[in-house]
Parts: sequence; C-alpha cells; structure tokens
Amino acid sequence: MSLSFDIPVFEVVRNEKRCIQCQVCVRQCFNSVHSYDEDDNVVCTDDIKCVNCHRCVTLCPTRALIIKKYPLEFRENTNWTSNAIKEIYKQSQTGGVLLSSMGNPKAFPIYWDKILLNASQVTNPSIDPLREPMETKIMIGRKPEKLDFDVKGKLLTEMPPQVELSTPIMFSAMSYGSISRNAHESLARAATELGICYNTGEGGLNRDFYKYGKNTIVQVASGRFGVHKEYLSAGIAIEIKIGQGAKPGIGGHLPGKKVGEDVSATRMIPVGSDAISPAPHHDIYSIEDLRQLIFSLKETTSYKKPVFVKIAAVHNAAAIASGIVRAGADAIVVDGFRGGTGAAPTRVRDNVGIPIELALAAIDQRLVEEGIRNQASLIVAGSIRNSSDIVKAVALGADAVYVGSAAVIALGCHMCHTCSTGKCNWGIATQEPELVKRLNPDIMYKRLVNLVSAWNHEIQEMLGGMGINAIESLRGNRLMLRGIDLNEKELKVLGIKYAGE
Amino acid sequence: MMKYLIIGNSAAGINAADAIRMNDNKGNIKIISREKFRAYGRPLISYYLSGKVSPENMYYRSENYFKSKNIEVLLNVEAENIDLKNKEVATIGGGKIAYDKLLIATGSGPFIPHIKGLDMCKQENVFTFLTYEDAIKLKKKITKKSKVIVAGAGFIGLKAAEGLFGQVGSITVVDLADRVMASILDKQSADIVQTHMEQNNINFKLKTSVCEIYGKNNVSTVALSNNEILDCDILVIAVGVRPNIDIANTINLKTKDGIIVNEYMQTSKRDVYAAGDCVESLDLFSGDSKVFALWSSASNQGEVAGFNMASVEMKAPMVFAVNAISFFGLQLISAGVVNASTSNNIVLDLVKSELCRLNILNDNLVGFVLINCEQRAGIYTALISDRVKLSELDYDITSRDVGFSVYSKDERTKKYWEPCKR
Amino acid sequence: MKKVYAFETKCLGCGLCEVYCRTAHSKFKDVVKAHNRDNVISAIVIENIFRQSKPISYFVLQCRHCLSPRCVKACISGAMHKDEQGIVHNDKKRCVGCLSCVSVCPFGAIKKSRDCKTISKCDLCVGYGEPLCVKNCPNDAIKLLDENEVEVALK
Repeated sequence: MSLSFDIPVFEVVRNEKRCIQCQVCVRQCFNSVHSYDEDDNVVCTDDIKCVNCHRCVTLCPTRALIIKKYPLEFRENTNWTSNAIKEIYKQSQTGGVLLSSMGNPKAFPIYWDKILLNASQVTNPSIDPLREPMETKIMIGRKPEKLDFDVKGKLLTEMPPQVELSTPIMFSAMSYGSISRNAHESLARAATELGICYNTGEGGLNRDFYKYGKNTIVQVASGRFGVHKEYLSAGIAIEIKIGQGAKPGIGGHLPGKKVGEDVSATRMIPVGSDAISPAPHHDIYSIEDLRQLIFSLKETTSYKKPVFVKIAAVHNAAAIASGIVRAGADAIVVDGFRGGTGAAPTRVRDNVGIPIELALAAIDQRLVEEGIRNQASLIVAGSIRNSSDIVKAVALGADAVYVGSAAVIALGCHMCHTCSTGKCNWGIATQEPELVKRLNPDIMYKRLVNLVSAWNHEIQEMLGGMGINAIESLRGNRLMLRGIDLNEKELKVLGIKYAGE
Repeated sequence: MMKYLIIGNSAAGINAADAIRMNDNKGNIKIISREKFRAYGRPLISYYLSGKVSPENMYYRSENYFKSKNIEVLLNVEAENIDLKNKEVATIGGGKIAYDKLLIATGSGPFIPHIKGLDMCKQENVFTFLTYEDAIKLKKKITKKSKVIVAGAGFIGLKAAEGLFGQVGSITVVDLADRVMASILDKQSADIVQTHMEQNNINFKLKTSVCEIYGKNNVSTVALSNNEILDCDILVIAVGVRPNIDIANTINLKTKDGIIVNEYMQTSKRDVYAAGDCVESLDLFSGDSKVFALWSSASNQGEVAGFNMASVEMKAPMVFAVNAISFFGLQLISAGVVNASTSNNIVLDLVKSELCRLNILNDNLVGFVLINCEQRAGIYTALISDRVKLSELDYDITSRDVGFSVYSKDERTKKYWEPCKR
Repeated sequence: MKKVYAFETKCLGCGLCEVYCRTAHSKFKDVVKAHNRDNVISAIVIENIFRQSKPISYFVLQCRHCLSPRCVKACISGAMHKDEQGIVHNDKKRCVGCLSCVSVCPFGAIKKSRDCKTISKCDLCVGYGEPLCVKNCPNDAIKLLDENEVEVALK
C-alpha cells in the first residue's frame, strides 16, 4: 500500500533563532525525528516519527524546541473522534491488533480525587511529625488470630514470615526485559537504600542482582520464566502473578528482539526467541490448584518466604480475593485498570477491569466481613500517583501500595506510551545498549530514593494532621474519608460518607 | 650545593634548567648565552620578520620566569674553553664559572657553502637566518623594491621567504634539489607546497644553485649553476645548519658531525652533558647516529639531560623528524620517513590542497605527510614513535580518519587512565 | 591535581559537552550567542566507536594534562606551558598556530582553531569552578577527579 493515511500526532516546533545546529537532538532521538542538513546548515524535523518523549526538548541547550499537538483537525464529531478515525486508518493498513503502553488513559472517574481526608481540630489534637514519633513501618504477611505470651511476657505464638517495609510503598513488578538492566538496577538499589522492596516481574532475576535479595520480591507468572529454586530463595517474598491491571485476562509477550544474551540467560530461554506468557497458568483452574502452587512454593523455600498472589481488579475481585486468602496466600495484590504496562492490546487496556479504589474497598470489606482480613495483607496497585493516594488507599484498607508508573516517571519516563517499540529514548523500556546507557543508575536510583522519601514525609504530615501517629492505625479507618461528587452507590461500595455528613 | 652550568639559552638549555629545578630545589643553576636577547622562540624569527609576532611576544619564557625558578641567566657571555680538571668554564673576556655538572647546548649555526665571490664579512646584503639578530638585521635592510634571493628551499629558506612576503619587490628561492624541503617532503607534497607558494608570488629556481656572487661590499647579481644571472639586492643563505661544536672540541669530546652522547645525554667526559642541535641522536628507524635539528627533540633531550644531571635517571628516546609548518595558510605536518617506502596510502584532494600520505612498512607506520588535514596528526606520530603494529589496531588507519578509537578498548583504557607520563 | 575524566560506559555522544565548552571559551557567556556570533571551537573531541559503520559507543577526549607534555616541548613560541598546578595552558597571545603541538599530542586532543591562527585545548575551565563539560553532562559521564578519586572510580 503506497498511500498511507498516517498523519503526525505531534508537531516539533524549532525556534530557528535559538537553534545553534549543535545536533544534540539529532543524536539523541532514536526515532530519527531530527536530521541535519549540511547544505543549508539547518536541523530538520520529521514530525510523523515524533512520539513526544521530550528527550530532545530536555537536552536542547538553548530551549529551542517545543512539541505541540499536531494542529491538523478532522471535522468535529463527538462520536467519531480523531483518535477513533486514526485507529481505523491504522488497523485497515496493518490488519493487526492495536497495541498501547502504560495504563488506561480514558476519562473514567478517578476516585482518589473524589475522596477527601480528615484532619483533627481541637479534640484529638494533630501531631507534628518533626517533633513527635511517627511510624510508617509496616509488616506484610499473615497475622495470627491471637498472640499467646508466657508469664514473663515472651511471645509464644510462632509468627508466619513477614516482610518489613520502612514505608508502605513498593516498586511494582517490571521485568528485566521489559525494562532495561540499568532501570532494574536503579529500582533494586533504591529499594535497598529505602528499606522497601522492588519486584522482579516475570523476567527472572539476574545473578548480579542477588545481592539486593532482602529487598526483592521474586515473581512467578504463567510463563514461569527464570524460575528455579535458587531464584525463589533469592528474594524476601514470592509473588504469584495471575493477572495484571492493564490487561486482565491477557498474557504477556516480550518480543524476541528484546531477548539478548543477558535477558536470555536470566529468563532461561534462547536468545532472540519471543517470551510468551500464556493468559492463564496452565496448572491453575481453581482455588485448590492455586493453593497447590502456593504451598509448592512455600515447601520449596521451607515456609520462610511469604507468598503473594496478584490479580487484576475485575468485577468479582472481592470473592476472588476471599478464595485467595483461603488458598493460603500471605498477601493479596490487586492491580487496578489504570496500572501501567510495557504493551497491551489497546482495547483490553481501555475497556477491561475496574478502578482500584472500588476493588480495594470491596475486597477489604469482604475479608473483614468473613473474618479473614488478618490472614493476608492487602497490597494495591494501578496508578498510585502521589502520597495522598497512598493515605487514602490505606484508609480504605490497604496495607501497602505498589508504584510502577510513578517509579519510571522518576527514572525519566515522559509517558509517551511507546514502550512496546523498544526505542525508549530515556533508557527505561529498551534493551538497545546505546539507549540503556542513557539511564545512569548512579543518578537515577537517587531520584527514586528522593521520591519515596518525599512521599514518606508527606504521609507523616497527613497522618499527623489526622492525629494518628502510626500508619497501622489508619488502615481501614474509613471514617477519615469523605466522598465528593459521588453517587449513593459509589459511596456504598467505597464504604465512606459524603462530605459534610 | 650542586652547581649546574648550562651553555646555551634555547630549547635544550632551558628545558634542562627546568628539569634540574624540578628535581633539585636548592642547586645553583646558571645559563650562559652569547646572544644579547633573553631566550626566544628561535623558529619565531620568520614571524618577527613578517610582523606577525611583535618583539614582546618573541620570548620563550616570561620576563620573571627564571628569577621565580631561581635560575641565573648570563647574557652576552660566550664560553671559550673548559677546564675539566678544575671544573671551570672560561668565558671570553676572562671570566671563569665553576660547575659540578656541565651541559653543552650550543645548538647549531648556519652552514655557509663555498660560493665564488662570497664574503660574509664584507658584503652587507648577505644574510643568514637563524637568530633573532639575523632577523632584525634583515628586516632593517629590506625595502619595498628589494630583489631577494634565498639560497636554500628548506624549512628555514621557505620560512624566510614567507616572512619577507609583501615587504620586498621580489623573492626567488634557489635550490639544488628537484623540490622544496626535499628532506621532509615527497615530490607530490612538495609540489603542492611549491604551487601554493608560487600563487603567493614566491619564485622558484630548482635543480640549480648559486655558484657565483658579484659585488664587493654589496652583492648586485648572482650567477646560478644553470648559467642564469639574477639581480640581487638581498641574499639570504639558508642551505642548512651545522652543530656548534667549537667548545666541545676544546676538550676533545668525541664527535662526529655533532657531539656524541649516550642515552643519558652524557658525553665522553665525566660530568659533561650535551643536548639539542649540537649532538648526534639515534635515528628511530635506522639506528644510525645523526644530527637532527628539531625543536621538540632538543627540548626533550634537554629535559633528559637535566634529569640525569640532577641524578634522576632518565633515558632519551630515539629520534625521528616531526615538523609542523604553515606557509600562507597551508598547514603541513610531516614526520618520519617520507620518501622511499614500500607501501603508502595517499588521499589527495587538489581542489582543497589536501593531502594525507601514510607510509607503511612491514605493519608499521613509518612516516606521514599531512597537508591541510592535520587534525589528529599526533595520533599518527604516536603510532610511529611507539612502533605500534598496525594489524593490532581496531581498524585500518588507511580506511578512514584516525582517532584515539584506533586503539583497542584495552589499549585505549590503559593509555587514558594510566598516570600520564607521556 | 584534578583532571577531567570521561567514562566511556556512560557517554551518550550527545555533544552537550562541546556546546558548553564552546560557550565557556567564547567571549559571550550565552549559549546562543557563543554559537551564532563567535567563531570559537570546543576543546573536546567526541569519538564514535563503529561496528559495521554504526556507532555503538562514544567517548569524549580532552587534554590529559600530561606529566611531561609533548606539546609543551614541541611548542616553538612558549605559548604552551604547564602551570604550577600542572595544568597545561595555551597562551593565545603568543601562539602562532604552527600546530607543532597538534603534531605530537598522542591523544589527538588539541584542535586547530577555526581561523587557523591558534589552537583550542582544554584548560579545565579555570575560573568557572567546575569545568562546564562536567557540570552539564546529562549522564555524569564526565567527572573532575583527583588521583585518589580516580583510584576509586577505577574500582
């Protein structure tokens, strides 16, 4: 097909007065948007290749570049939006499934922004975390029904294995393969320095990273890539991944071109072969099957590692969660529909799953009602954007949160949504050696440390404001929340009152 | 306290004094010079002649440099002979200077060929072109109408010609060889240089020489060996240099053309060292003993002599010629063997007057000529001096512009990170 | 003595060091003016390492400020000199652009100026505190290190 209906999505605007023809943009754009014309001594642009990753804009020493939405308009139509038209052009040209990256971008309600926090006034005075103790440490894992002590006050109850976190934040599962080695290293080093955990994703764990084991959660997913006894023992906890918020019901696919020597060795698959994770675990068709896998993993690691089970937030999340707890999981991870991904079918990403806020409230409520809430910790994921999202999540019943998108944004991700191309100009979602280099772990791990430290500080401030001195005391305390701009049904699912009530 | 005496106040002498001071804080260092000027950049005299360098920028070191290093410089003092037994140098006029270690860095003087009718003492318009004083005298004598003959198309002759450009009536360069700078350029490169100079109104008479001079106190015409007769208002003799070894001869130092030294720059007599244009050096390629009149080699040898005089052992490297010159904006760098070689690679662009000639012999680079494409020349020079096997490099040096990346990663890392003693 | 060291494993070959080097050595201290109105060139060499004519790696090279600098010894005018701290400088007022220094620098780290009248080499941005190439490298690939820090960096 010689005629393409493609039109640029972005326009690169160059201020010729400020451009010094240094060609930094030419060298830095892996999509070849910029090129140097020697004859005329000008730098030219090819808008159609631009993904708006801001690499050129950020590095341009004279701020000569701006990227704008491409001004070409279609005739206005609320139903047939330009996006809908462009998607049809694309599919009619390629015959393929539309692929997208990152989380659901559609205008569904964001409940975090419709929930408000409380603060103490007069009675139950607020606490200043700079002057008084403020605890954000939490323990992830199964808690006993009751604790027995001997006469001397010594604990008699045998405690199940726990993961201690200095603050209720962990870095989400992102596999080595989907993200670069340097990105992986940055996450591992930051987690270690912060006293939190990062997650290997389903890519296995390179032996160079075993030294960060105390802060590593190793994942077992449907492809079982890189899973072996040493791997399972290398981390502090094991996570069985059933589903992912960005693409519930869908497996994973790491293209062969991303499977280089190192990734191949880590995943235990041949160099250059596609790594396909099936949609289901082929050995799990029931809660009983899940229980078998959970206990196989526990057996392998001598019951020393808590086992998490991760599911996507879907319609029956509460019932499923209850089953997972009964299957013996030490923690449930629920991933909402805004959770990020390297690549997902666009239709799935944009239309499958439910918001994490609703799933969280429903699951916590259900587990409390069934009297099994103590048997597992509850971890939520799927677009936690800031510290107030975390505080609200905890008040809705979460023990901790996973952050993925926020972490990669700290690493330089500019949310251009083209992870799947493997040409990440920031060195995050790529295996191109030239691009991987761009992410210097020495610099970037510090940004992650800064981000989490800042959030932790803010969490303490908000807790103090509510007159609470330990995050454990906020968990499930929905009285600290009020809804705004929500209907009766939403308030009911969230289990919160309306503002003013 | 050690007493160091250095005869000669140019590249070798000054670098020796610096090296001594680096290793001996207290020793007494004296430099004597028969010239009346403070140390100056000798090759700058052509720039002085053309007016590109003003008198205050002629000096090789700042005015208070020697004072700050506590080095004593005695100008207008010429050594007459050396008393090895009492370790004293007698100077013309009867002075005596004691030393513990002596360096002879007397450099070279002009070679004056036998030409019928030449009498340098009487003829006021015949010049040599080696010292600042030569240049000052020449500059005073020239007029807008002067017809200048330069005998010798070597480095010095051509620089003199360029220096005179625009200030005289005509300039003709005469040389017996078939090309300019025959000792450092191949024919092809020499032709580019010659053409470029001819475009700037410098005339050449090659394969001939000045064989007779007419005029008693003032030369008026010269006869060439090809029977041409040329009018001449100014004659510059620049046919070559000879080591100044008169002082060495007073104590019967072993000499050939120049003073013979070992790799520590020691002469045949105890505590007497020699360095620079006045010594014989070992040729990197042939291993033969030869006189090289090279500024950088003189500096190097001076430094080596200085270290050894201050009792810090250091060996002088073997020498090969490296010359960087420009004529009317044409940049030229030549090194090593440039004429005969078994294989060479020539990239030529006559429109831009660019030439890159690499002479390769048995997996080694042995020489090169670069005209107007000299950007990374030092890397070629290093390949020659380190006798690098070309087959061990990361790429074929004839395939593209050379860079530091020509070395393998290990080699490159080593060179980059080792405490740099080069 | 502190020198600029470049780390090949971190270098992106982006060229920002050159932009800021030019700016540092221009009479204009503004990036745009330094490039559009001034003729200075940078004192940095960026090299690409090619495999099958595709650059796979980059490194930058500045004057190494050698202990015994060949350029200083080759300089005919005394313009090239080493100061008390060990920094090799080129005095532009005295430089005649003969390129003797270029002909002997084993790193090829000295460049001829655009007008061919002098040369351009790294002077460690004395007067700026930190060299601008170090300060502006987006990936910390260029660092100003003393001998001890070099030992650490190499481990």
